[in-house]
Amino acid sequence: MRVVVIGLDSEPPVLWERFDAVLPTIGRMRREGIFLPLASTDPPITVPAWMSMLSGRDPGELGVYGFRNRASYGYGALVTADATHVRVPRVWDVLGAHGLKSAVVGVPGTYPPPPVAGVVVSDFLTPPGAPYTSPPEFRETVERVVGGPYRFDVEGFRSHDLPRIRDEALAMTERRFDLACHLAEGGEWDFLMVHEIGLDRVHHAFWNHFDPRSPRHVPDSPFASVVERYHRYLDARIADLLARLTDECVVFVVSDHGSRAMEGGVYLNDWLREEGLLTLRHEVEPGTPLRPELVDWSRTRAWAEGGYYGRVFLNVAGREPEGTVAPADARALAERIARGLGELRCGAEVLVPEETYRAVRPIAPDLMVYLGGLGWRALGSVGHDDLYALENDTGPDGANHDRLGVFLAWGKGVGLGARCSGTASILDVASTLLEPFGLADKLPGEPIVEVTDLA
Amino acid sequence: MRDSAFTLWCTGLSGAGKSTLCAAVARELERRGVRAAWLDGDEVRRELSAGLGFGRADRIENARRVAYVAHALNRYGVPVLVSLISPYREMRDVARARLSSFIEVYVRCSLTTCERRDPKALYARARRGEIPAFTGVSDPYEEPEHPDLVVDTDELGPEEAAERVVRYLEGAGYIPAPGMRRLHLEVPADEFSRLEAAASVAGIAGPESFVRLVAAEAATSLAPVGADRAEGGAAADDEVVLARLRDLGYIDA
Repeated sequence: MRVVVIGLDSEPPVLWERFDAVLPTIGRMRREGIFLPLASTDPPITVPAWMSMLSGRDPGELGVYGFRNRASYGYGALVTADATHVRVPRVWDVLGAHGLKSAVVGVPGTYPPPPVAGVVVSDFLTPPGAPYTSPPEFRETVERVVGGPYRFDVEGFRSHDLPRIRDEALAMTERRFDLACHLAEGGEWDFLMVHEIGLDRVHHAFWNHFDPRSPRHVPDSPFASVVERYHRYLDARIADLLARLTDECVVFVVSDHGSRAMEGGVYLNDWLREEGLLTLRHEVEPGTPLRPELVDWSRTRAWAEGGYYGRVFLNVAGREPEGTVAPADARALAERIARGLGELRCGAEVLVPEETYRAVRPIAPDLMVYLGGLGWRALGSVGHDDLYALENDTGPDGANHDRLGVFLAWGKGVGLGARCSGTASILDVASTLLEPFGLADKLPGEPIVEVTDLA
Repeated sequence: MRDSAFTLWCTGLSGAGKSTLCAAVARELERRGVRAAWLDGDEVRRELSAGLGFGRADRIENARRVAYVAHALNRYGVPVLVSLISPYREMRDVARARLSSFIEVYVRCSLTTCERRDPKALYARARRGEIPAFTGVSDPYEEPEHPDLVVDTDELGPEEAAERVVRYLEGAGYIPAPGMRRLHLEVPADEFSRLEAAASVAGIAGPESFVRLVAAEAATSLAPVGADRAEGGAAADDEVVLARLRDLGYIDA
């Protein structure tokens, strides 16, 4: 038995329905296999979601709450979460401990490339020029197969140069699947996983070109078909990959979260200023990033980080360097902020890490905020006259993340797991991937599907 | 060289006008500084697939070979035009799976018109039974279900058909807009590195970031570039950018 995982970053179930007529491979797999919507992590953000999916641990247990996380209780910059932040075993670690080999390509949370029994090509957060394979000499194979330098991501994808984004996304995906197909034929693995970030980039750049429900929909856009075109290409390359697999393979197609139209944004720090909870040393130009030196911390009780979701941090005495909120008052302040955010025009859902996760490893935000059911972006910059915006403040963007991704299992002997119905959980994927090897109990979670070895 | 190296795959009956269309499109691309390779079915049969027949398996193999060549050209920045009957959907699917920027153009024409044109007298021979498995006569043509573009040559003349394709390509950003021309420049490597770093700081990404940076600088010094395009200012703007490029030594004076 061998397992293949195709990771499609930010794929929502709705697009498989929408493009069903032009996705013959995915359609066939859905009909023949088991397809369920997949509930993402809180927050539904790429890096923690993939780390959780492959470890069975939630973001609180991992201590990873976004791309960037607080490394201390100071006011300084956040640090980027990478492979060194994952201190629990992931699927390939369990397999390696049982003498099984993995080939892992581009999975978020694999830079720097961790030592794995098999081969690794690191993820889209790989810095330019950095070593990106494990073992290091595997790089030569990669570059021979893709015909030159390997591409990790679309450069500058928050740009108005839409033809470039489309073409770079497709060229990158072409090379990634060339490599995946090469590995599939090579056969030196029990577990093969390839992750494609291009889909996420295409969604962000082109969502408002096809979705009339987007407030920034572009009627009759020449780029209206880019998302569909990209899906058609993905479908063809998945067929290409499947053609190289033997019957013993079970194939999973999964995504970390979904996508939806971006409806607008809320300047969270400006809202905190209006509420008298955040004070700047002086007035600033609209769109100024909130830098620590701008803040009068002695008169600040809370501040926020923007992104697909918002994070609010309280300035707690004895914890932050210039804390102003007595620890005993922190809960009441958090509740006040949650109530206030709930009154925003777009509405807000506020999560408390201690009530969300099985454990909370440092350093979690004090509050996590989903605006407008995730349709609204949390914007971190300050100095605006209006709390609400139609555009993202870090570059053009048509899509926001959504909670539901996809889970598809396909292959001989695949049947629904005993405890699964309706929506699957991302936290059950790791044990599901180990189930065909009889190792499901080695990581947390319940298998979503069970695989009967028919050989 | 940017990645917009598409493959325009023209499919349709023999005599539908695929080759005529590709020739006209190639001429227009050349005018805009885009040099495309053209893989024509007849030439491919002669040079690349001489040993293949016209049975289904051989035709699919022929498409696979054409897609492979197009893929190799696209990978290194060369746009490709393909004129190939490619009658089976499976042939086009093979190409779609190989080519990330695959543009399927259905050159639609009624069989009656194709037979009337019959530029190679193939239909006449097929009707006499001299050519087995001839598409449209004794072998099926499977119409594209979801082509990117349909060009009906029953209704459109060759130039009109080419114009429609070119408009599609420019609208989707594969080729420069009318009045624009793509430049291929040799630049000093150290200057390229300096400008690329500056472009990165400015958030201008991509392999041509140095040109973008120069253009951005020109735009800010002359603000707003483009505002007077409606009054015929495009040429003047282009001249300013070109002047900057000359000053920096990227192009000859």
